[in-house]
Amino acid sequence: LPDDSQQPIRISANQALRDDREGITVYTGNVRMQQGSLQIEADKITLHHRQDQPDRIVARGTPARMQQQPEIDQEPVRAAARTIEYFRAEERVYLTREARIEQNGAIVTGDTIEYLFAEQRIKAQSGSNDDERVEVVIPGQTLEQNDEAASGTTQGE
Amino acid sequence: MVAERTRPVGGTGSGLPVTPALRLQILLGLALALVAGYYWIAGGDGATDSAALIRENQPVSTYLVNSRSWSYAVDGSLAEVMEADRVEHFGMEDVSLLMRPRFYSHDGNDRTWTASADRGRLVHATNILALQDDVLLINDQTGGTLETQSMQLNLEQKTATSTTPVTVRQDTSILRAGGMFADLNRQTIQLRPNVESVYDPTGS
Repeated sequence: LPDDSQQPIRISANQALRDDREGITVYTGNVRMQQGSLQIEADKITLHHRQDQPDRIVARGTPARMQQQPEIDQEPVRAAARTIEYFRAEERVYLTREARIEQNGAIVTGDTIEYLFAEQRIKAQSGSNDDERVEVVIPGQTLEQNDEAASGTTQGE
Repeated sequence: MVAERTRPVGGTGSGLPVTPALRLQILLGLALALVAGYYWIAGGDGATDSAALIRENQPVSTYLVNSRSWSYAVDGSLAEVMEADRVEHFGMEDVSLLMRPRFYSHDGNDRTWTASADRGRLVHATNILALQDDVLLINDQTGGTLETQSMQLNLEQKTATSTTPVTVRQDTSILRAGGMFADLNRQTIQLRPNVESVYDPTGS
């Protein structure tokens, strides 16, 4: 939701290592993070905190999973990747390796995907290998809806 | 034919027949209740028992009131300060019992931390200070605090261990866990099990 990034961040795990000198806390074992409607599940989450303000959160898993609801009346966005980096202040996540993001049946996969929460915009990149191309799958009815919406506007003009 | 009614042993003849086995069970139950009651009255937590045991088994060799001791590193820099409202030293076991101990550690790199509690027990041979009740550990640089009910401080290795629930607070973040191991020189804390943490990015 729009005010997710202002909500408290709650993390639970089997264990954690807090290193005040490095300014990080590493959570391992059945790790779950929640901030408003944003939820991340991973094997390991590293929280980087400067003056104890968590600004970067790196989740790793096989895969790590993320879910977030852009607006009250919209379907949640679901994503997965080997690594999910969440930049709280910039309200964006960066998915790397076996990245996949999905909403309303539309699926984007690639080697890296960047998702901007506020603008709900996706930037996907392929990997160096040929088999890591970006793929986009948009379900049929979504296309039809878009066509109707487009033709509706041309008649109106 | 006269039906002879057998009266139970020791019974009043009207209620439950009190057989020897039943009487034994009743006595056993009473004994257990007495023992449990004794431990419950004695406040039954380990530390109280061990302190009480020490005091029972041997006289106090030395006691100090409002004590403060300093210790210095080889290069002459202040290393540790130990304060307490009262210290009782037991020579036989070389153990000191402390009331409201406060321990300050300086590691020479301008890093200091502080530990305090209601009660403490210092084993001089191993330099391990067991702290009990309202234990508070403060990282003076970051202002981070750790609260628990019992903790073992290894004064030589500068490590702290607790197997009771701990709460770590730093600015607006709170971490809770079922226990912890802290390396005070490296400023790291391992928390386990059942870690729950909350970070409030708005700082409120």
